[in-house]
Order: sequence, then C-alpha cells, then structure tokens
Amino acid sequence: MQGLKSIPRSWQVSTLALAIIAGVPMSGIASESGIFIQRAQLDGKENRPVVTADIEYRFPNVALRALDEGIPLTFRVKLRIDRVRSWGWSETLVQDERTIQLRYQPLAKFFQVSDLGSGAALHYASLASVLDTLSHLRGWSIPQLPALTENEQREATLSFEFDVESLPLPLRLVAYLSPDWTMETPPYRWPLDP
Amino acid sequence: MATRSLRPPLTLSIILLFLAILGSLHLMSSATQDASALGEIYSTLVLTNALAGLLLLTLVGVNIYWLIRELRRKAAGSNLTSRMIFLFSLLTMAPAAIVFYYSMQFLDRSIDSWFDVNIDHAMEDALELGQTALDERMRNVSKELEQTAEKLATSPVSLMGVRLNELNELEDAELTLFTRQGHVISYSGAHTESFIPALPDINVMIQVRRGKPYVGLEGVGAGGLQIRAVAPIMGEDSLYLQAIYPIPRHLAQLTDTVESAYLHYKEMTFLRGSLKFTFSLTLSLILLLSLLAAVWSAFLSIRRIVEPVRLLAIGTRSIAAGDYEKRLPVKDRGELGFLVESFNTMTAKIAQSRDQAERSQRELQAQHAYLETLLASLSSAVLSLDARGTVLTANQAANTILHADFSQYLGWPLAVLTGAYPHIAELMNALSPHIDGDKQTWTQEVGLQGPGGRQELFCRGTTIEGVGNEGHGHVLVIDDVTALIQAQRNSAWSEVARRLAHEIKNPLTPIQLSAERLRHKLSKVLVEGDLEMLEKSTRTIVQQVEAMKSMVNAFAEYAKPTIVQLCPIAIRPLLDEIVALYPPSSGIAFEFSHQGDVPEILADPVKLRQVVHNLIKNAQEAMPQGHEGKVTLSTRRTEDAGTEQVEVRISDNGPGIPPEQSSRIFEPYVTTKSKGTGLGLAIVKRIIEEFGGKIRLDSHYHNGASFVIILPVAPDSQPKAP
Repeated sequence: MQGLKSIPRSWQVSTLALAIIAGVPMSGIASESGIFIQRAQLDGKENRPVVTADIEYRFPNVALRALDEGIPLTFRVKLRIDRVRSWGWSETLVQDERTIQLRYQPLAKFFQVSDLGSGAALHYASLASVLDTLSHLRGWSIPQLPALTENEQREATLSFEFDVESLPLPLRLVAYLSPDWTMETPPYRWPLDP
Repeated sequence: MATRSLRPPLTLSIILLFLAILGSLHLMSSATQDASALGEIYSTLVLTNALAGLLLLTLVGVNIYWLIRELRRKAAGSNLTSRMIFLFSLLTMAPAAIVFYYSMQFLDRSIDSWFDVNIDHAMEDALELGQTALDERMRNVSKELEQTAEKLATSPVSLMGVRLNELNELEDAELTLFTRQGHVISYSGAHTESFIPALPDINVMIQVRRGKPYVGLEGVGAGGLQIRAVAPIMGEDSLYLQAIYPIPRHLAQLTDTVESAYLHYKEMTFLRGSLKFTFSLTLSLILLLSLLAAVWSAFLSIRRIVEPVRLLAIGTRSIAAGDYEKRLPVKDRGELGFLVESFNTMTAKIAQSRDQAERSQRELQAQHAYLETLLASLSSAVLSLDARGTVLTANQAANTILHADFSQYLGWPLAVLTGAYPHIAELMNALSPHIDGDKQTWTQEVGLQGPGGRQELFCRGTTIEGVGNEGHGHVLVIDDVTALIQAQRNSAWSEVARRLAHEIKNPLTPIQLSAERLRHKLSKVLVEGDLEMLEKSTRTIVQQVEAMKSMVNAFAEYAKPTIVQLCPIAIRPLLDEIVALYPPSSGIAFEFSHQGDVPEILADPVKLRQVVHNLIKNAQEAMPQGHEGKVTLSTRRTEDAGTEQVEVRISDNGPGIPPEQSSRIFEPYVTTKSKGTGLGLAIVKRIIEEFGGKIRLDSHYHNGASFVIILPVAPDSQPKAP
C-alpha cells in the first residue's frame, strides 16, 4: 500500500477560481458523464479490514476520444475513515489514496491499467474489459481501525476524482473550464457502525 | 539656479510590481514549453496571473472612477490628466493590439503548419508497419509452437518434460505444458528457480479448447511486450502447450519508437485546438497584464506629473480668491517643480506687496483722516478742483461759509454745483480768471451776496499738479472775513465815537455857555432889531449844541462797553409783553407767526427788550404817513452745525431797506431816516452779538424789511409750548 499523499486542494481552488473567471456556471455542469460509486463497504476482520466497492464509469466522449488518441487518463481513488463524534470535530482515522492510470497502446491495440503507486499494470483488449475490471474494486486492505468509545461512530468516505493536472498541459485549462470534461462525482459516504 | 537631477517616473514599488508580473508571465510562458519542468505549476501560474490581472483591473477601475469623479467636480488638473491618460492608453494599446493580432495569426498558422496529411498517413503507415512486423513474429511463433506441439504429441506423457526441453530451441522462450485443469506438467525456460508460469486466461482457454491455437501480444510491466501462444497437444485432449516469447530487443526498440512517435503525433493532433487556446490565453494574459500595468503606471505617473499643474491651478484659484498666503508643496524637483517653486516665490512677493500696499493704504487713510480732521477743524473753506473743474474735496467750513452742501456734489462738475447754488456761481465767476490763468498762487477778496446776507470772502488759490486724472488742479482756501471787517469797522466807529465824545463834547459846553453869556450881556445893550437877531442866533447855537450833545452821547453810548446779564428767557412771553406796550393807537398792527415749540434762550432780558423796541420803533418810524403799519413777529427752532438755536424774525410792511444800503445797514451812521444818528441798528447788532447771537437783514424779503435774529438756546432748556 502506498503512503499517504497530501491532497492537492489548491487545484480545487484553482478550478473554482478559473471557472468563476471564465463565467462557467458550476450548477450547469451536471451531466450524465461521471464516475458513480454504486456501493461500497468495509469487509473483513477487525484487524484486517478490506474495502470493496462497485463503481460505474460513464466517461464523456471527449475523454474517450482523448484516450483513443493516446492521452492517458488518471484517477485518484481516495478513502477516508473518520471518527464521528457527537460533539466537536471529526477525527480522521484512516486516509489512503490510489492513483490509477488508464492508457491505450495502439501498437498492441490494448488498454493498459496501471496502479501508479505500486507500478502494477494490467492489459485489456477492449475498453469494456477495462471498465468491467475497474467496476469491481476488491481487496483494498487498510490498517487496523482503533476501538470506539461510547458515543462515537465511524464513517467511511470513498471518492473518485479525475486528475486534470495529469493531462497534457494544453488540455488542462480546457478540462478545467469545459463542462465536457467534468467527471467529478460526490463522494460516497457510509457509516461503519450501524 | 541649482541643477536638479531627474527622477525616474516610477517608484520602486511599481518597478517591483512590474518585475513580479514579468517574472510570473515569464514562468507561465516557459511552462508552455513542451519539456518544461514548470508544466506542473502551469495552472497555478495561470491563476496567479489571472488574479494579478484582476488586481490590476481593479486598480485601473478605481483610478478611472477617481478620474471620472474628478472630472465631474471639475477638479484642477483632471482634464489634463484624462487627456494624457487617453493619449497614453491609445499610444500603448494601438501597437499592442496590432502586435497581438499578428501574433495570434502567426500562432494559429504556425500550429496549423505542424500538421500535415502526409505526416498523418506516414505515422499511420509506420504504426501499421510495426503491427505487421509483430504480426509476422506472432505467426512464426504460432507456427513453431504448433510444430512443437505436434512433436510432443508423439511422445508419451511421462517423457514430455524431457522432450519439451529438447524442443525449446529459443533461448528466451518459455514453454509450459499444462493440463485442462491448469496443472503445470512441465516448464522449459530461462527462469527456472522461482518462476511460476502465468497460464492463459479463460478467454484464451475457451478458444484453445475449441481446437484453435491462440497467439497474441501482451503487455509486460509498464511498457514491454511479449507474445503468448497456446496450442493443444494433438491426441491428448487434456494437455496444452503455452509459449511465451519476448519481442526481440531490436524489434521492441523500433516498435517503441514508432508507437511513441505515433502517440505523440496523435496527441498533438488531438490537442491542436487546446494548444491554440493555451497559447492564445497565455499571450492574451501577457498582453492584458502588460496593458493594465502600463495603464495603471500611466495613472500613477501622470498623476505625479500633473500634480504640480493641479497644485498650480489650486494656487491660482486661491490667489484669485485673495489668499496670498497659499504655499504649494514642492514634490518634484523637475521643471514643473521649478514652476511650483516660482509660484510660491511669486505668491510670497505678492503677499509682501499686498502687505506693503495695505500698510501704504492704512498710512494713506490715516493721512487722509488726519487731513480731513485738519480740514474739518479749519475755519477756512477748502475746496479742491481738478483740471476739468470737478469738485474733488470740500471741508465742513466750505459748507458753512458758502452755504452749500458740497458733500452732495463731490465728483460732479462745478457747473452742477453752481446750478444748484447760484450764489457760488458769482464767486466762481470772480475767481475764474485766476483758475483759468497760469499763476501758481493768487489771492482775491470777493464780496458775495449769499443767502445769509453779504459776505466778504478772502480767497487764496494754488495750482497743484496731478489732481484728478489729468492736468492742473486747484486748491481754493476761502475765509469769511465779513465778521473781521465788520469788527474792524465797529472798532473804527467805536474809536470815532470815543473821539467824538472826547473831542467834540468837551468844547460844546463852553460854546453853549458862551452863547448864553453873549445873549445875557448883549440883550441889555442891543436895540430891538439886533436883539431879536441875537436871540435867534444864540438860540440856534444852543439848540445845535444840544443836538450835538445828543449825538455825542449816542456815540458815547455806542462806544461804551455794556454789561449784560444772561439768563434763560422764554422768548414768546417776552415778545407778548413788548407788543402789549404798543396800543392800537400807535399805528402798528402786530401779528405772530410762531412755528412749533422753541426752547428758552440765553439773553439779557433788558437788553433784548431794547433790541425789540428798537426794531419796532425803526419800523414805526419808517412807515409812510397814512400807511397802515404791520409788524410780524415769528419764532422757530433752528439748527446750525448741530447747535440748537432760536430764530426770531421781525418783519414790517414798510418801504424796506434800499439794496445799496442793505450790506451796511448795521454800520453806524447808516440810516434810511432823515433824522437820527444811525446808531440804532449798530447798537442792536452789538447787543445781539454780546448775547452770542447774530442778526441779519433778510435780503429775500421784499414786502418791507425783515430782520432775522439768531439767539443761542439756554443750557438744559426744554422746548416751550407757544
């Protein structure tokens, strides 16, 4: 498992600022494209919890075209488990992130899915195979969770973010400003303690 | 003048801001380079520059708002500032817009020129060539694997492992013999120590189970390729042979190069529009920031340049409003700063001159006031005329002596004054030869018939330069010497009277005694005729001596100093008492014509009765035989130079005073009667003057004679009802 990485929140601010400057109505961005987490849960034993999730990918056409033209698409899958108190601020117990890159290799005519953290790569003959594999997130083991005290609950948050900054430089501003590139989805939250 | 060094128009802060913006723009521009490490912070740089643009836009907006406000309230220098800003912006934007337009055109065409249909086809062909080479390699691998599988099929299962090693001719190939269930029976390859062979996935196995060999490319690691081939062992339904061949190094390098170039070209093709957008945005940001920074610095610089002009405008307005103490701050040592310094020097000198002028004005006013006081205190009338005869100044004594209100005619031509006061025309006619002449100084005595009677005026004139606007002016000093001449005459007459009393009265008694003695001695000896003549002659001598004695006594009385006892007197009851002494049989009818209330006068009642009796008696004696005489007595309160007086007027309807005698009627021995000494009116005048009053003959009264007596009012006297 890769170490914790700081979240580049400045890009979120940058996105917002540029969108404001460009006059892009944020409320009008919502479209059918995006990455939607259908289900997520924490399985396994207490000393070895494992995250499983089902994800639906609806890439926008422009992203698919870019992928077809050899431009890799990078996603950040972020997991955070917070201790939710009835009073005060929440405390982050676990925070983990994986960076997944999807690219097309025209010579061999297959798609490559890489975990940039571990360097592991898988190859698929079709995009459908890729998405089918990526739709089932399995076996993401996380450290042991600390015990809860009374009046405490834990909440897990799983988010899937498209990394605009990994795009080629000329494409970044377009991706920030154009709603066609919007693949942000709201994070998926679920309580761990019923 | 000290030499002053020129200062750069921009302050250090502006320069630093420019450098910061320039640095940020340079970083952003560098970040657009393909291989630049700054690419990672490109978005930050764009955002930073956009925020800097917003900041500059706000600054420019604030400055424009400020300028509009200044223009609306017509502030000093705002018009010049707006013009300079407009001109500067125009000069900045025009070439920038041209450069921007052609840069965009060049950028657009340059990026378009990167792409060509032939290159596109070449890249496609190169990729296809690479794929063909790999396909050929895969076909060979597949063919070799099938041959190996056929050879293995002839061997018993127990010897297949040995046979597999013998058949593995390729050094880098990995051959794996496995069952339908995925159990590895035998493996032949380079990595025998710890390698667990990767078996084909389910899709491949489905195809192989149908009897169709499989061959395909697979990725290895992040970028490597290998060929996987799977074929069934003929005759052995449950055994399969898999071969994994790495791509030869040379072929792998070639295909990598082709694929990288192809991907790069495809990526560039895809990013064609984005590239234009990015470069355009970068160029636009650079241009926008440069223009905004230039306009903002123009505002600052022009405001600094115009500041002295603005201060000068404010200063001149203050000067126009009379504020000569205004001093402008010298913020610039340049030419405009020199102007401000000069302005300050000028205002200081103006203030000094103004102070000097004010001091001179005050001194002049003091001198003028002193002169006016002096002139007002003078008993002589002082008039000044300019060359055109305009009355410039006249003192109070002029009003009194010449019986005119000169204050109403200051600045008016003399003709207007003489039109209003004809008696002054007589004076000016008498003086005109001197006024029109060339003599610097002159004197002349003028007899004038004024409203208050005849006046003897002693006039002196001096020509002075520069009085009025042009030419020579004149200063006239006029003294009323009427009283002086009259006093001289009175004195002379008193001396005459005294001498008459002394020189004539003394021999009269011996003459009278001698005549009576002659008559007494000769009456006895003369005959009747002679005696009669003697009686007649001596009687005549005695009578004439008596007459002469009476005359001498009258003169003696006139010459004798009198003692008056002044006391407050109610004039109207006194007049009533006097008139009551004249019965209707006296031939005189009296009439009173009093006006308003009059205060008590200060006089000697006995002497005043003598005066009134004398005047009534004169009127009575002047009446012709058979003429019904009427004497009118009137009193009223008057004022002269702020002093309250009582005027008593005694008028008759007699023949009046001949004009030739009117001026000398109060002199001794001047009379209109056939008898009398002519001292009555002289005594009356002397008594009145001893009261502190005046008496004159009203020359405008034509129904007889009218004497006007002016008497002083008793102190603390209240007006008395008639």
